[in-house]
Parts: sequence; structure tokens; C-alpha cells
Amino acid sequence: MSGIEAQFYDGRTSVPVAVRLAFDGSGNALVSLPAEQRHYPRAALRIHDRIGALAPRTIDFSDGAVAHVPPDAESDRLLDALSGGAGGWVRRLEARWLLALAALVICTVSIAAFIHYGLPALATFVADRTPPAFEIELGRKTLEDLDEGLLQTSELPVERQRTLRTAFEQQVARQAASALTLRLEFRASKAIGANALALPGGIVVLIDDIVELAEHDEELLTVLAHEVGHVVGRHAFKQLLEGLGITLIMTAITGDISGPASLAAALPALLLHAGYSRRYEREADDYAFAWADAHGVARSRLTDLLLRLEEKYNGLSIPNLLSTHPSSEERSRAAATAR
Amino acid sequence: MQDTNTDSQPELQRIEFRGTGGEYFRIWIVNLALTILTLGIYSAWAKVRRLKYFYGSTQLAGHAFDYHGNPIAILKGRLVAVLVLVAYSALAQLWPLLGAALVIAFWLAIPWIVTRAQMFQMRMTSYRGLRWDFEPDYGGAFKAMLLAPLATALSLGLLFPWATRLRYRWLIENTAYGKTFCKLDIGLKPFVMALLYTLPLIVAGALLVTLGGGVMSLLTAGGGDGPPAPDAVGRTLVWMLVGFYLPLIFVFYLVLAVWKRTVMNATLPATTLGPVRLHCKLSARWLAWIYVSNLVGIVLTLGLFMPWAKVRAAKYQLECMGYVASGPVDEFHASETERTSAVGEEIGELMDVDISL
Repeated sequence: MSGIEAQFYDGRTSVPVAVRLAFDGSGNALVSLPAEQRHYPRAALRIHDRIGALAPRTIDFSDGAVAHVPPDAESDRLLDALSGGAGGWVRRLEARWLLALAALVICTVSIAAFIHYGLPALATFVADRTPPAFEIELGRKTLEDLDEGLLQTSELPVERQRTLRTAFEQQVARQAASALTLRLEFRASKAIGANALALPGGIVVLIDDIVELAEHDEELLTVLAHEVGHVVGRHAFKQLLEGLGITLIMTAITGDISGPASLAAALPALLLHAGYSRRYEREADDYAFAWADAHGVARSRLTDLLLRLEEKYNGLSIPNLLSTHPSSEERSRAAATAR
Repeated sequence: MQDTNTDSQPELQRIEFRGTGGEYFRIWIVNLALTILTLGIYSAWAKVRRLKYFYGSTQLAGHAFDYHGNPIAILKGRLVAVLVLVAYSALAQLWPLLGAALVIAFWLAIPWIVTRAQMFQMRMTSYRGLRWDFEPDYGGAFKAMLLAPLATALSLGLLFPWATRLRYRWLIENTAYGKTFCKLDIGLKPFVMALLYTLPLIVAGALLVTLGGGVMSLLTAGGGDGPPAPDAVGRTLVWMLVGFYLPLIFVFYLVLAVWKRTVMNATLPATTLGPVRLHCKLSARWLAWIYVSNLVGIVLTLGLFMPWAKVRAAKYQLECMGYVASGPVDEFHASETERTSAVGEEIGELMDVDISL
């Protein structure tokens, strides 16, 4: 018979009793209380793992009684042996810094891999199975929201709008392999500046400033081809889904910090989101370059406009990690290579 | 031997928290890795280990708390909760009108969810071998969770102290240790004071945010014909972070610290459990410091500081609490508890229903 010191509670009153627990070879327990001796067969015991170096190890008895065994290596050895061959293996994993480091590597690699490969694949899977009607409705709603805040009515002459729209429809939109109907919209916007947007559902918005900044219509057509690249790849919708996925993952990981501290998780999420965004920008650039090649337009039309944009807004530059677009330099390099 | 002490001056028994950040980091990361390797199934076991660690590390008058949640019950609860959520979003997607009806249904279900979650949590907690308990007072929950907030909104916030006291009273007076129920004897004054202390901070915060927002829009709009960078979105995000979120978070924590200190320091000492009176003496300054420094630590380490942050917050708050007994504490008796499913708790957790003190 081997024994260990423990604090015993009978589960009916709050009286603690210091006892000695004795175990026979098959794990049956004998508890010596002041007034009586209690016998518990092995099957009536639930021996829990000890979690934390200073926390007691608990044993639940089938009649509702509990024993708290103070931390002690000798008792741990005995109780591990009683709870079967694998007893305490998680505790041993948790005890070592080196193993914790290995766990950290496993977590980081698998989460990064999932975010990098799994989530985009999942977003594509879901996007491919979502009826276009849903995405079109989403795009219509988005444009409505934008019109109430960031976007104003275009100040471009109607004639100019018509020319650009015709060029867009005949030279860019018609060749696009997309289940979505492409539609060009003109808007003015102080907040967005010289830019073009691809909304879910096939709406492409051209902001007045970029039309004025362009020195040749081919520049605008390459920009429009870039936006059509976003539409064909359903990037806006996929990004929405990925954002949702990242939020879910962050909640799962940080789930046990309550309330506002989870705001801190917004930062990595922001960085990851920008990363996806840059990936889609490159894809859309590739689409625009392919379009330019097929239509005998110089690839430099797009990068010329981008460089002019950068010159115009030579303000605060955003570090690449936070930026939603690849740098113009990188995009020019991409235009020069990869034919 | 201990019984001879009961005649002398009642002594304050403080909670001692024995957990450390390093230890919890290892527990957290190992269990997270196991959860990932088992595609999420282990998460229920991870939750039990995490809670057992925190409960077992909490000692009051030489006795540790214990958590008895069963991983299988928690796993089942999670599955049901996920199914409910998936069914809800699928239905809401297909029939938007039904979705709106379901939102109302969920809102009406909040008292049930909160009560079930509280029951599960209390019944899975033991101290000195006795389980805690929570009375399923659904009527009280309906009043405290739905009617009181509604009345507060209708009174333009005037009834807020009253509504808060109602919620605490529901939470505390339905809680029992064994078969002994907690009693809360408290006036409205502490809740009025908590509001008066935090109101100036909230107003200051609102001013700060307006100012930050103004500066931000100036910086991003650029003014005149020099509109913002082409990368307006990224740039706006940076300025939102610096000019808007950081001050907002800071003020938020300050308000939270002052509110928590005022309410907890009044509510717990007004709570009795048989011969026992609870004790709590939090400092708003320390609370705010812990919140803010934890946040900075978490952001700078991309989340790795989280376990240390959690242990620091728990240790400080728990060690400010304790009890004073005016009679023997050996005479509490167990009640006959039935089994409680973890469904309410897991739905609550997924939907972020929070009722903590």
C-alpha cells in the first residue's frame, strides 16, 4: 500500500479534513477519516491531471467527495501510474519551455499557412458557388452606400462620359470572361481622389480626377482593364469573405481575452488583409497587361499613369506592409518582365 | 482547533492567486497547438484545462477553487451552438424577413441563454468540496436583461443606476454556495456615483474623438485641389489608428477602470453569504494601468503577451478580494444539483453575450 497526504472534502459540508489516501496495487483507495474508513474501488475515482506547478491535483470520488493533493513529485508519479500509461502527458508537454516554443512554431506555421493558402481557396470555393444575383445585389447596395457618403455626381461633360463608356464597352468589357455584366459609372470624389474602383457584381467606378490626370485615353483603358481584372477574379467579393474568415480566426485564437483587449487583434488582421489586397492588385495588373498586349497598347500606359499619380500625391508614403497596393516601382518592374 | 478563533476579532481572508504568466503561456500555446492538430476537437479539453488552471491557482483561506466542466458536455454544447448559428445564418440568407424575426427571437432568448450559461458556470465551480449553484430565475432575467435596458433607453439614461442595480441583484441573489443563497443589501448611491464619476470621462472622450476625427479628416482630405494619396484607404487607416482608436481605447479603459472600481468595491462588500461578508478593494489607477499596459504588450508582441496579460489582470483583481467571517465557515451544506447542459453557455460564448461583473 502506498499513500499520499491530501485535503479531503466529503462534498456534503464545507468541512476540510487532512487525510492520508492509501492505494493498493489495483488502484482501490482507502481514505482514513477521523470517524470512519472509506473504501473506494478504482472505478469510483476520477484522477485529474495537475495543471500548474502550485495548484493542487484533484481526485473526484463517485459519491461527490473530492480530494486535493498538494503539488509533490512523488504523489504525481503515483497518481500518473494509477491513471494509466499516458497519465499526465499534456502536463509534461506544458512543463517545458522548449516544447512550448515548438507548439508556438506549429501554431504560427499552421495559422499562417491557412491564412495564406487555405482561406483564399475557401473564399474562391464559396464565391464560385454563390449565385451572381447575390453578388450583384451586394454591389448595388455598396454603390448606394458610397453615393450617400464618399461619392458625388460626376462633373465630366456628358460627351466625354459617352466616349469613354463606348470605348470601355467595345474594347474592354466585351472580351471579359465573366458571368457578371460589366457596367461603368462616373463619379466625383474628394475623399478618394484620382482612382478607379471595382465593386462586387461588376460595377466599375471611374473618379473624375483620374480622367483629368490621364494624358491619353489608352491610359484610362488600361486602368479600366485593371478594374475588369478585379471583376473577372471576383476580388471584391472574395476579399469580403476573407475579411470575415480572418475575423473568425482571430476570435477563435484570442477567444479567451475578454472584451476590448481583443481590439489588439485588429492589428495583425489589418496587416493580413492588406496582404490579400496586394495579391489581388498584382493579379489585376497582370490582367491589364495581358489586355494591353492583346490590343497593341503599350504596357507602360498603365505604369505611366501610376507614376504620375504618385508624383501628384507625394505626401505621406505608407510602408509596404500596411499598404493595400504594391508600390508603383514594383508594378513597373512587373510590366517590364513577365511577358 | 480552528473553531476557537470564532470568538476573536473577525479576520480578513484574502484570495491568493498562484498562477504565473510564463506557466499560463505554456499551457495556452500547447493546448492551442493540440487544438489545431485535432482540427478543433481538442478545444473543449483545452477550455477545461485553462479553467482548471485558473480555478486551481485561486486559493482562499488555504483552499483552492476547482472547475468541474466535462469536455464532452462542452463539445456537445459547442456543436449545438454552431448548428444553431449555421441554421440561423442560412435561414436569414434565404428569407431576409425570417432573419429579422430570428434576430428578435434571439433577443428574446438572451435571458434564457444568460441564465443557462450562469447555471452551468456556477454548478461547475466548487470550493471546499461544495458546488456553487445558480437559481434559474427566468422572470428576473427577463426583467434585468430586457425590460430594465428598455426602461433605461426610454428614460434617456436616467434609470441606468437603477437598471444596473437590478442586474447585480439578479446575478448575486440567485447565486448560492451549496444551499446558502447570497444576499445583496445595497442602495442606489454607489451606482449613481459610478455614473457621475465616469460621465465627465465619457464627455472628455467624446470631445477627444471629435477632435481626433477633425484632425484626421484634415490630414486625409489634404484640402483644395491636392486631394489625398491614391492609396487613400491605407492612409486613412493609419490616421484612424493614431488619431482615433488609440485615444478612444485609452478613454475606454479609464472609464472601465473607474466604473469597475466603484461598482465592485460597493457591491461585493454589500454581499453576504451566511456568516460571511465579501470584501473587495480595487484601485482604479491600478486597473487602468493593467488594462493599458496589457493592451500595449499584446499589440507589440502581436498577441504573444496575451497569457501574461490575462494572469496579471486576474491576479491583481482576485488578490483585492476576500471575505470576513463572523461565524464558522464549516457549516455550509450541499444542495441537490441536477445536470446542466453546456448549450446555453456555448451559444452565449459564440454570440458574445457577456454578463460578467
